[in-house]
Amino acid sequence: MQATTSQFRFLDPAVLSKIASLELVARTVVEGFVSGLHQSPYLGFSVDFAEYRQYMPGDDIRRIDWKVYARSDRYYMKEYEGETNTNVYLLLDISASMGYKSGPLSKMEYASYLAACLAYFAQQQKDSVGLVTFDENLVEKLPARCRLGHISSILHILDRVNPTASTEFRKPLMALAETFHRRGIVVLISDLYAPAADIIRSLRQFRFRGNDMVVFHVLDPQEKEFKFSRSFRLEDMETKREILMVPEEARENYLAQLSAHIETIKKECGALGIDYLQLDTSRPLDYALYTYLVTRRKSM
Amino acid sequence: MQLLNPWFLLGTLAVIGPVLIHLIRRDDSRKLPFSSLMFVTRLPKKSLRQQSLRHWLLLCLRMAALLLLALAFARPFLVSKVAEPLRSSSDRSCIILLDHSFSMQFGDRFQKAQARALRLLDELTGRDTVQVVAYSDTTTVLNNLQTDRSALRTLVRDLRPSYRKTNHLGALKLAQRLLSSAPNDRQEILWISDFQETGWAEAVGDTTLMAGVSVQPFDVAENEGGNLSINQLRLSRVTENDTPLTRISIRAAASGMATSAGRVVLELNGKRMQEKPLAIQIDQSQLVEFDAINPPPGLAKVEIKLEPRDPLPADNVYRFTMNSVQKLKLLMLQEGGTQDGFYIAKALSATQDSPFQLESQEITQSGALDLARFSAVLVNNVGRVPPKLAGAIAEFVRGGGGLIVALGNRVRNGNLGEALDRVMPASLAKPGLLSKEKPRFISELQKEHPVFEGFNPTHHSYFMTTPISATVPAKPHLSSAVLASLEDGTPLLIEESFGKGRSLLFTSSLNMDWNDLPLKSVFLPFLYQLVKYSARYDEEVHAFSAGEVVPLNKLNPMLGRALNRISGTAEAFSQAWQITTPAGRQAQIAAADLVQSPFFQLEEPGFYQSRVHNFDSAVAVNVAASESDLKKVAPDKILASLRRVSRASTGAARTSEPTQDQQEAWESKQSLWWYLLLLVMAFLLVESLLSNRYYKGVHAP
Repeated sequence: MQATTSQFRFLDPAVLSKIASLELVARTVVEGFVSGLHQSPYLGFSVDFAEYRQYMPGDDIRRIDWKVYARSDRYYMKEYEGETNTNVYLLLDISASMGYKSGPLSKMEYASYLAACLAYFAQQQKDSVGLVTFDENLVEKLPARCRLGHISSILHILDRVNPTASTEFRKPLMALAETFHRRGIVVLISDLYAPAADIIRSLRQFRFRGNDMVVFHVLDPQEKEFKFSRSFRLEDMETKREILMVPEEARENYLAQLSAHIETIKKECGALGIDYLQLDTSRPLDYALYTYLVTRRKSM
Repeated sequence: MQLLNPWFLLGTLAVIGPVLIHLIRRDDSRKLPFSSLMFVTRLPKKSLRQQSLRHWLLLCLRMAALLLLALAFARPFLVSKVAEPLRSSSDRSCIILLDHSFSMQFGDRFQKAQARALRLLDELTGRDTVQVVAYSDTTTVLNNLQTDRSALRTLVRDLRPSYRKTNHLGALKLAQRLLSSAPNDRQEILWISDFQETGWAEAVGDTTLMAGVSVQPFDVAENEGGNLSINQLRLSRVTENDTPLTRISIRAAASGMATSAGRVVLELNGKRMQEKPLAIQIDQSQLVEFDAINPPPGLAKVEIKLEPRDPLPADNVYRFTMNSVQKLKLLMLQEGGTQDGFYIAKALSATQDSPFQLESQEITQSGALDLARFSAVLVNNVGRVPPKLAGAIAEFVRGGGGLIVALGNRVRNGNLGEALDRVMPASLAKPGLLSKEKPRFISELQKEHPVFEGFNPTHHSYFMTTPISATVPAKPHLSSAVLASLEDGTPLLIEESFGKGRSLLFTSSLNMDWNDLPLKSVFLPFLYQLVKYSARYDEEVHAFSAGEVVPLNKLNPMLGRALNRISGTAEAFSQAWQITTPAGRQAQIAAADLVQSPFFQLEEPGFYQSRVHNFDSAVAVNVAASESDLKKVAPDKILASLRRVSRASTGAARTSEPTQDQQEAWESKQSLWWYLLLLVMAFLLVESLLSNRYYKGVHAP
């Protein structure tokens, strides 16, 4: 028995892949996830509250709180804020390597499901959600919005992502970080096939601007295990470079290097206060939602 | 013999592949796209030595396996064995919705529901496809749409009632969603439940039912008698003869029955302590107050039992835990007597229920302080912290402790101590105090931050109308957050995390020198929140409800500490912990689980016990009070409230072509392919044994 995993609770991503509509996937996962939380202390974000701000010339004097004026001898406006809680930016890696799959679901499809679920979930929490897709450049950028219908724009972009180009973290993400003026939660969904130093340098830019971050490292089970049955020529999906190899010889070395890469990123993420979660494409999306929820709680 | 999928025989051509590869492409092998060669290119490059055909036996085995595999995929069958007619329009797709929420444990309701489900399975025709969905407040799809009745019967028989709440609407929605991809035109939901009203009360808003889907309710609740339950607990602290005691009171309810000769029993750590009479009218409730008790130190497990028992005994017992030693220990460091900390001390020990235990220490006499005893340290208006103590505080914070620094007129220069400055959320400038003639007001509060989230707008106005006459200028670090600032932008409260701990800086004073905040009604809750937040203090939860998902550190505080320690290095950490469920089962919590999903699902009422690093802990779980109210809602009323919508509007339009599921159901009647596959597996097993033997040591570095 594992923590929190009852036998039937989580939806197998392979099952989700049979559902054609991305919105339906998101709804299925998120509604199941939320109904599973019950009275969890992590729910219950306030959406309707008032605040005070100082009177500015031109403000409607009917909204001045005269009781506060009586106490402080200053004019304060009673103001009702919108329903937005926080900004959530989903950064989705759509490089060619994300198109890899050894099972029914490619990393790109899994990442799209995850992004859709997170967007849908964030919207349920009345958060503003934005989406950025990138490969070696910034491909699409949808600013964070909270309005109804924005989720459709996000799903539309997710529906037509086409992983073709190579991965580059520094250039697009550094440029993106410059444009983030309001703090929020930055969610990176990627297979992180880039030098660890570049990745960390990019993440640091977001973190140092006060954003809370969570990194979802999406890997295919085959990438984690490297269990190929026989010799072959491996072709890099991004560079089209080929290499001849005998997998049983290469496996140990490959796994060691992958593990070192992951450990470096984990360690650096830990030092930066970034939540890191490794997901393989057979893993239920609920785990990712839990991690996101914890990060969101921290950001509040 | 015929072949269902003869074109799969083309697969037999695959046997040429290995031979051609071996003979023709001596310097090459098949190309396989892979996501990145980032970790492969750095391997010592070894040329692939082409394997010759020296292992003829291996080649034959492989070719035979391929041939048989292709034949298996072609689905051979004997004409005389075919008795599978095509799908007719009278075939149905049915979802059996089986309620297994806690209320179904009443009497023999669940056994009746199982019997009804089995009877329904018998009544369906052999070509009807069926799916069984068990539901409570979550839904469990037990199988794919299928025609195999024996497997379904086993699933239904093996199902057990849960201790969870009811959510009829969620189950109904899921059933419709499942039917939207069902193969047959006739679609039915066979709904077996006790139709508990509280399970439907949660359904709000517009609920719909797809056109063409019929719903048949089967009510298994009859007039079986009433139910006694405990639905409310209140704990209050009182003092008698200078001894702090705890008074326990509960509210017992009788739904559909009355009791005149009942009683309520209080047991503490398994020992019967008190007994009170119980006399409740039908559909009424009664408040029962026990005499105040003095629980033993440490964790106390309390059970309150109603007698006599009724047909739903699990809710006749209410369990909770009390922990009398969980006060948060706060160390206040100050200078020049107790005057500066007067308001702080008064606020933190204002009531007997105060969760804090405050210890004040003069900074000049703080030679050998053991900070490990404390959860947080408050440095209150201290000019300079001795270097040794400053270093200890810095280490304390990085190790997970909380630090609150309040400034004041004793801060002579912008340097409290070099080591301490490294765990401060801002750099202090030399005090250039604001003029007392020109007080400033707070203009911005991070209202969603845990320190301020408990305050309502009126409270905010109390903060905002507090004149702050002086602050010490502070420049927040890039990674710190300003939680409150004055109207000219001067930061007032700044926060930053260091290692596993938190540090908060209040740039004004927490006494009357520079502001009159201590006289405001918000001072006490503000100070409480400040200390709790800095020390990551969680309120004690006495009991949870079955079905709740709780963070692991709620089960055992030591698990939380373990989580902090191993975060990010799960693979390297192989330790596992055990949690014992009320039924006595052992649940293993591995380090990887702690990191990846630090939650635990509480499924059954009772005490969940755990031991981590020799620290025993327990949490109490009860069934949700709403499940004890057995009032029913008429199924017709539910169905009448559903709005019929067309399939197109739900995006569930279907084609007339047979679906994959249907084809699989049809193919499942075949058996020859199965034997062929067994043969393939046998060949492959022999092949792998042989190849292991042949290649052993060939590729050794």
